[in-house]
This record gives sequence, structure tokens and C-alpha cells, in this order.
Amino acid sequence: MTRLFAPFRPLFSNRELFWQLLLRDIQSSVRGSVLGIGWIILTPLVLVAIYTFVFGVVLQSAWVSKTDSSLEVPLIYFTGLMVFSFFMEIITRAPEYIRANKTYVTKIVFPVEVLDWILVGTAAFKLAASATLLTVFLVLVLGRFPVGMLAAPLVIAPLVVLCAGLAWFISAVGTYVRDLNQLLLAIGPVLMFVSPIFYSVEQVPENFRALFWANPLTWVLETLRGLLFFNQGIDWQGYALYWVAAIAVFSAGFGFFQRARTGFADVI
Amino acid sequence: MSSEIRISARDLGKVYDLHDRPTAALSAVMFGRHAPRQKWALRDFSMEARPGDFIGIIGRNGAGKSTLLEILAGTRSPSTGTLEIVGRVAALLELGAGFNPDFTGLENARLCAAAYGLSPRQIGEKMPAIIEFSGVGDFMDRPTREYSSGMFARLAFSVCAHCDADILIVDEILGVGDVRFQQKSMRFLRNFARDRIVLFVSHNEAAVLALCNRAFWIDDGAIAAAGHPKEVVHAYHRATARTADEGAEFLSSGGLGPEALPLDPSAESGPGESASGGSWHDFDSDCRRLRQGAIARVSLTRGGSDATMLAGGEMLTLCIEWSVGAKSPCAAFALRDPMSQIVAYRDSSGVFDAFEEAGPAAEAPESGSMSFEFRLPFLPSGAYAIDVAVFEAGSAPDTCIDRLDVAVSFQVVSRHISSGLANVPLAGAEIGILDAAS
Repeated sequence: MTRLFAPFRPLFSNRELFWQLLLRDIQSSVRGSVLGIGWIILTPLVLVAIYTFVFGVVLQSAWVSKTDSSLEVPLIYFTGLMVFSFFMEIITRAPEYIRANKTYVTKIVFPVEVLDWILVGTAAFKLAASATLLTVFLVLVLGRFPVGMLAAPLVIAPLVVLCAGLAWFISAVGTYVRDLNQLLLAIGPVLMFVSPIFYSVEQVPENFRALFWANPLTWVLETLRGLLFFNQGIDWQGYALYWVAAIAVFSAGFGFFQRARTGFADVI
Repeated sequence: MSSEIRISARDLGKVYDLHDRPTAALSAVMFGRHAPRQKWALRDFSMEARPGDFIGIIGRNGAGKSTLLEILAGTRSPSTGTLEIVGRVAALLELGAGFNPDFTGLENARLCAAAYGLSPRQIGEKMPAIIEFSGVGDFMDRPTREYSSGMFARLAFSVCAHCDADILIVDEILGVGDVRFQQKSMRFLRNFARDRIVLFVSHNEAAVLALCNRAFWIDDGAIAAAGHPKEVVHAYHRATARTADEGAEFLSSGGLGPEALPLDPSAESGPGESASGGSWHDFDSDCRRLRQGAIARVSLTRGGSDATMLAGGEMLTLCIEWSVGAKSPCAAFALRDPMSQIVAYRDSSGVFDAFEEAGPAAEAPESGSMSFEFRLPFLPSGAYAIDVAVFEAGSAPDTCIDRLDVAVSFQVVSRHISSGLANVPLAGAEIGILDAAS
């Protein structure tokens, strides 16, 4: 049990440092720009507009007939995209993140584990910003507060834990082997299309479906969509299973990171 | 307390695997597989340090000094040996490490302080002192990319200096900033080392000699000499002079003494010569200033004009003016060398005193002045500073009305090149043969 909480200890004992660095990490992506924090809202909106046009108008998505309002389809895409962006941000930033913060590793006495927490924290902040925006839109479109939104953090939580675990792995390996960055950038778009963001798993032919459920994003995307748009509940058995997998990845990732970090200073 | 061992290093060694592929480096860490080619950057380094130690580390480039400091600082893990450290370590391995140029000085200082382990409350308490010490002033609100390199260095050093560390590790950062800041940082390091530990790497042997009580000479990853700084620096000198033919540096290249100077000993016994030893004011103390800002003006002149470039032997006038009521004011000054060591100290003991003449019953005048006339000693080249203090007669050495550190500074360009603390102007020199037969 104590091992399970080991990754949280550096976070707790360095919380002041964590908050400052997190704030800086969020700010630094927009520092010097005129719109500042507005970009965090604007970027997903532009993406949603494009995808809505392509999938909703040009390709005629299956959801168009299933929803009450035609304005709901862009919001379904938005829901999927915000979850996917959260995942992608962590995956693509992790390989270079330790290198990018080189001085913290080699020049000052610094709890390096905190760096990955910041990575996850920044992505989580953006996700929360998107979710708030989504709630506002949902209220406008549906004319009522989407009750399913209250359960959304519950659905997202294991994904955050899972992504943190992946971040430990990827950032540790990426510090040594720089190919990982290229690889992840290459498979990023592929991941987007094999995740049920613009379509539902039900539209996937039966014999491929099992493969889809292996994608860590599938369960979250499907559950969240059902919750927010189709009045479906949470499959608790799947939820428990998801947590078990997330915690396993998280603990293994941390163990790997702790082992690999002793050599960080020598390779960067 | 002072005998307590704070740093205990046993047989520290660092070996770098020279991997051909990046995956090999990863597998070396994960599975302990080593590369066929290795380089020992450090081997068998042992030392112990107690509070009060000021340890200098010298050696050629690439000798392993920085690796050693990084291991002691905890940013690099040793391959062999054990290291035990008691207390908080602050390492200044690179000036401004972790500073983001897009963020303001204040933001960077806060973050840096947090990285040194200070709590938000402590940071809030220390921030005024950090800003004051750095002398960055209004620029604290500007992004650090707008800073001059000196300001950047000053802020970085200032944060490090205020983080309540027990052990300070400094890698070759002396020599940044202007005279005032150099004096300040040297003074800080010296004070710090009184009851704590400073470890520093320097190529400046004068600094090692002036500041340290112990020194290590690292050559090719191993201790080549350790012990008293004088012996270590000397051994290092001999070795480098042999290998690089730098011996010429130690030959006197200055001519004989310049103009004939009135070196009549009787001329030297000015006022106050009869005063007993012991100084009235301790310039190395953190003194209590009763009326900050009381010293209105300090000037150092030579024949009526400001003295900034001097050679030694000149008659100088140091004039201190203050604007505060004092019953029987006294003044003192201290001349500090580039390492901020006090070279000379004088106070107004035994001098003619207009205040005393006026009698104790007289009303305390609102202002006063004191001028010292003295001959500048023959000093090695470098930047010197003078601290001045004004205090009431009979007050404790660490209390004063006001004190100005680095009140004036000047440059000495010495024509008598030597390697020592002072220069001797040669009036004549001759090599003769003694008749052995007689």
C-alpha cells in the first residue's frame, strides 16, 4: 500500500514548487501572445469547427439522425476531442520533457518526479478548461444543465492515472532514446482515427471491436458520450477493471522511472 | 557542535560509460550492463567536512572538479563509494539555472527559492532581503531576458544566498558582477563559512588562498594534493608551470621602484599611531545601524580630484560627512581587497577632535565631517573598496550610527608585479660576489 502512494509523496512534499512550476508551464505556452490564456479555449473551438464540417456535413455522421438538435453533433466531437487532446498532449510532450528541463536535472537539486506531474497537471488544466466550455455550450443547446457532467470527473479520473503512468514510462525512455518522439508524432494522427471520436464503437464491424476495446481511450470516450448525450449510465464492472489497469500502469511506470532517473544526468 | 561531521564522502568515484547507441545507455541503467569503453571522471575521492570549513577545489579543465561538485550536490549519482550529508545543500552550479527568460525576476526568484525547498511563507519573508541583496531594484518586475548578465548573476546568487542552506556548493561563479557585488558576495561567503560549509571550485588561486581553510587539487579524477590551501596551490603551481611553461608569470616584470618616495619612518607616524591595538568598529560584523542614511557623502580624493585609478604610494584623502546629531562622533574606515578581506583599518582614535574641544556641555551639532589622510599601501592590482562607519565614542564594535559598505571603490594597477598580499617598492637591487678567499 505504501508503494502505491510513493509517487504522490514527492508531489506532496514539493507542493509549492509543483504549483509554481505548473502555473509557469501553463503560462509559458501562451506567454508573449496577445490572446494569452484565450488560446487554450480558442484552439479546440477551431478544431471542432473543422471536424464538424468534415464529418457532420460532408461525410454525414450517423449521430446527426440520433440527436435532437443538429448543434449537438459538434459538441459530441468536442467531447471526444478534448479527451483525446488530453491524452495526446501527455504522450507527445513526455519524450522530450526531461530534456527540455535539463537544468533541473543537472544543475539544481530537484525532485525530477515532479516534472511528470507538471506535464499531467498542465494537460488536466486544459481538459478542465475545455470541460467547462463544453458545459456552457450544453446548457445553451439543451436549455438545461447536463446532469451527466457531474459524473464526468469520475470517468476521467482513471484516465488521468493511466496517462501519468504512461508519462513516467515515455519520459524515462525518451530521455535516453530520442526516436520515441518521432515515433509518437507519427502515430498521433493514426491514434486519432482508431479511437472512437468521430464515430461510435457500434459502427465498427463486430470482428474488429475487441481490438478497439484494447485502446485505453475507447472506454472513456464511449462512457462519457453515453453519459452526456444519450442518457446512459456507467458500466461499473468495466470501470473497476479500468481502474485496476490504470493503477498497474501507474505503479509500473513510476518504478521504471525511479530506476531510469539515476542515469538522466549522464545522458542529457 | 563545530566538530560535527556534515559531509562524509568515502571513495567516491564516477565512471562514464562511453556508449555507442542510446539504447545501450538505457539498458546500462536498467540492467547494469556496462559499456566496453569507460572513462573514470573521478576516483577514490574521500573527504570529511565540518561547519566552519571553506573548501576550495582547484585543477585543470576536465580534471573532474565539476563532476565532483555535482555528486556532492546530489544532481549526479556516484558510481562507487558512499556519500553522507547532514543538512540542507544549496548548489550554485550554474548561474540562473532554472530561470526562464520570459518570466520576471520576481517570478524566477520565487520559483528558484521554492526549488531550494523554501515554503511560501519563508519565501515571502526572504524576498525583500533577496531583492535588496541582488540590487536589481525596479527590474524585479521585468522579464529576466531584459537583464544584463551582471544583474542576472546577482539575482541568482542572491536567491541562493538566502535559502538557509547548511552547505553551499559554488562552481566558478566568482568574478561576475561589479566591484560592489563582488565585495558583497565575497563577504557573504566568508560569513557563511563561519558556522557552515562552503565548497567551491575556482580557477582563481588568489580567491582560494584568501578564502579557504582547506583545498583539494584534483588532477585526472584523483586527488593530487589536499590540505592547507597554500601548500595545495603551490603544488598545483609547480605542476602547471612545469607542464605549460607558465613559470614566466612568476618572474618580476616590473622595474625597480618608481619615483623616489619619502619613506622616512617618522613621516608614517601620524596621529593615532600611539593608540592601543583593537579596533572600535568591527567591519566584518552585521552591525546595527541606528540611523541609516546618516552618512551623507564619502569621497576619496588625490590632490583634489577623485581617485579611481591608483598605483600605490599616493597620498589620499578620505572625507566622510554625516548629517545627524552626535555627541562625540567617531569614524572608521576599512580598506578591502578584491576578495573583500580587510587590508587596513583605521579609526579616529587619538586624532584632534573639534567636538571634544567644544566640551561635553555643548549642543550636539547637526552634522560633522572627518577626513583621513593616508598613503595608499603598495597593493597588487585589482579592485579595492573602502567601507566607512560613523559611531558614537564608546559604543560596541557592532553598533554604529551608520555604516556604508563599499562607500568608494578604486582600481589599483600595480607596477610591481609580485605574488603576495602586498608589494614592496624596490629602491635598489644588486647581485654581488662575496670574495670567498678572504
